[in-house]
Amino acid sequence: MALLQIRDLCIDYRTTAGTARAVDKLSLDIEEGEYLGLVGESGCGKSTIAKAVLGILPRNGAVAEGDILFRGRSLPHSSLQELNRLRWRDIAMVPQSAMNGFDPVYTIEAQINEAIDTHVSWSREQKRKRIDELFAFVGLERGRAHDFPHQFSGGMRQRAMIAMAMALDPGFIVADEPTTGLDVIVQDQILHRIKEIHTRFGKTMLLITHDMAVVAENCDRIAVMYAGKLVEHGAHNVFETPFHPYTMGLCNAFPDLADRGRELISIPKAPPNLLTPPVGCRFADRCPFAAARCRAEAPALVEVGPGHVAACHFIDRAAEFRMKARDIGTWQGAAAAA
Amino acid sequence: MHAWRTFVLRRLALLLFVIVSILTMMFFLFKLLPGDPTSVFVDSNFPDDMVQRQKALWGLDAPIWVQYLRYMGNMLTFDFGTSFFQMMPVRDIVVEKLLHTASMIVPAVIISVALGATLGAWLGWRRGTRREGAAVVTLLTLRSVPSFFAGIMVLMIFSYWLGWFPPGGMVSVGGAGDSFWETVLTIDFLHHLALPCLVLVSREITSPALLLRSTMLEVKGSDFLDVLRAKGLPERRIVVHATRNALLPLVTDVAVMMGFLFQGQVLLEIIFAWPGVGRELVTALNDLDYPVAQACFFVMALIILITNFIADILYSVIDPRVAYD
Repeated sequence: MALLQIRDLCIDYRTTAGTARAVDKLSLDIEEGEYLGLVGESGCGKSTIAKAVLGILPRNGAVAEGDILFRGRSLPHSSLQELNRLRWRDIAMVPQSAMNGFDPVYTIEAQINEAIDTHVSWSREQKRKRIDELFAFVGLERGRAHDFPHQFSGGMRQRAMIAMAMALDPGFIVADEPTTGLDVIVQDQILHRIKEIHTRFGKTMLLITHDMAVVAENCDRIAVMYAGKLVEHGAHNVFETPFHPYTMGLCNAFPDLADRGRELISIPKAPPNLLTPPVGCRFADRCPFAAARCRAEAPALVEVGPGHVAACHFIDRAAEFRMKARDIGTWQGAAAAA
Repeated sequence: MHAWRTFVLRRLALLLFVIVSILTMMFFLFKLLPGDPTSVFVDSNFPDDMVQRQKALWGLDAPIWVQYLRYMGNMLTFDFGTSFFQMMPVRDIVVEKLLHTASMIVPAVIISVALGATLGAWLGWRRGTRREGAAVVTLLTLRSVPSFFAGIMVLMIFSYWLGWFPPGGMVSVGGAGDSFWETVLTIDFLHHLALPCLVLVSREITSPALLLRSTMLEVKGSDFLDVLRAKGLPERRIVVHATRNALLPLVTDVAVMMGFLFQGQVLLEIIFAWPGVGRELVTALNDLDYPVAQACFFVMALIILITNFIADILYSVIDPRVAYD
């Protein structure tokens, strides 16, 4: 049984303009010890999934249908007390680096201690030793634990966040865009730490990002989301031989060290409005290969290889699409045609 | 820590500068006041040399800068002279009246801040409910009622109609103890305190409540609350975190409130016949009792300055982000 099973999950946001379905009938498994990267554009629903797993959806958001099972136990159907027992002990998070994840009026150490004290009763000595270990692991000076969050740089804060997430040795860690807004070198250091959690301690990880290159470099498996739907899911073959035109587009948009001469191509136009999603394939409007069928009928996820699924009507033409997708004219043509 | 000490010292220096400025302004203001203080004591029909003798006795014949220096020295050592009318040291009078005012204001402030902050935090946390809307309207109404009107209404209802509380004064006739504390720590005093305190609280509760409600709304959008929730903290602890952050601006508010209450309770003290410093000031000005009036002004200004100073220092302690430069 997978550690985390997401089953036909639908998440709605009530807005003044109507109800927006941010995640639509999404199913996804994360196996024990797996490092999964969930990629997609802003607003595709990837952070919403992270929030739903942790039970911290905003007030206007709710799981409308489906389920999230952690070790077979439903998270959305748990009471707050049951959820609070799982939180941080079994499921911890590294929040978006752009977020102010620490309470500004308490020291870093006080906040890590608070996480520990909420779940276990350790002596002061035990807690101190634990913070010694954690700070050594993330590469922070031990003396700085007494500092307040505002005395830390963005990168240091994120290291401290990783330390706090590790405090109770949880089995599953969700990192929601942990490096947005940090400079490239710090970004790399942080991602390296997070990967180490996985490689050294064998933790199951979910990394949410919009950066294809980050996932390619760090994760075992990758799930691509578009407009609330899962469009492709698999191991490294997702980059090597993508079957969904959106994944092909995403791969084009990031530089490839092996192919320095390649031009970066962005996908024209914006994702659909989730208040009134299109009937057919959600990507049809931006897809250079879209046919009449794509606008009428939503494609289902089909197996395209071992442990590799994609949701496209034309998976049998994927090889041809991959060739054409490398040409910038293909994408500009799609923009002009619509 | 060193930076903090410099910060405190600089604030202290500034405080001293402001005190000296206020005293200087007061010196010249009282010189400009119409009516010669000697006229209260010396009838205009008396011979001129008697007037001169009286002036010499009070040092009013000395050059102005000598008078100024003497005045400064006296004020800064809290030597306010003798009252023209009560023939006792002004310091004793002012201290007594100040304690009376404090005995009304301090309980009212404590109640207002405790209740108001709790109410405000709750309102902010429960934003958008019907109860919250009703509470905000009530608070705004209470805030808009002038204290003389509220005072008279409260007197009419609870004292005149219902007869539950005495109509004024601090204690019943003959109820005063030998010392301040003996007077204040009696049921009789609390009985007299109830109505003025009620009027004060009904007004002063609105500021911390509305302030905390709005700061709570700001804090509620903070990202760190999500992390606290994900940490598995019970709701109660999360509200504590949010409130702790929302409380910061309240410190300044309370300090300013305290200062203003000490000077602004003239109306309430008159309505409830409360022998406080505000009423004393009005009486002293009417009687041209300059030493008392001067001392009252000075002490009120001093209280505002000191409460603000305390707020600054306190703020730097409770909010670690305050920079000391």
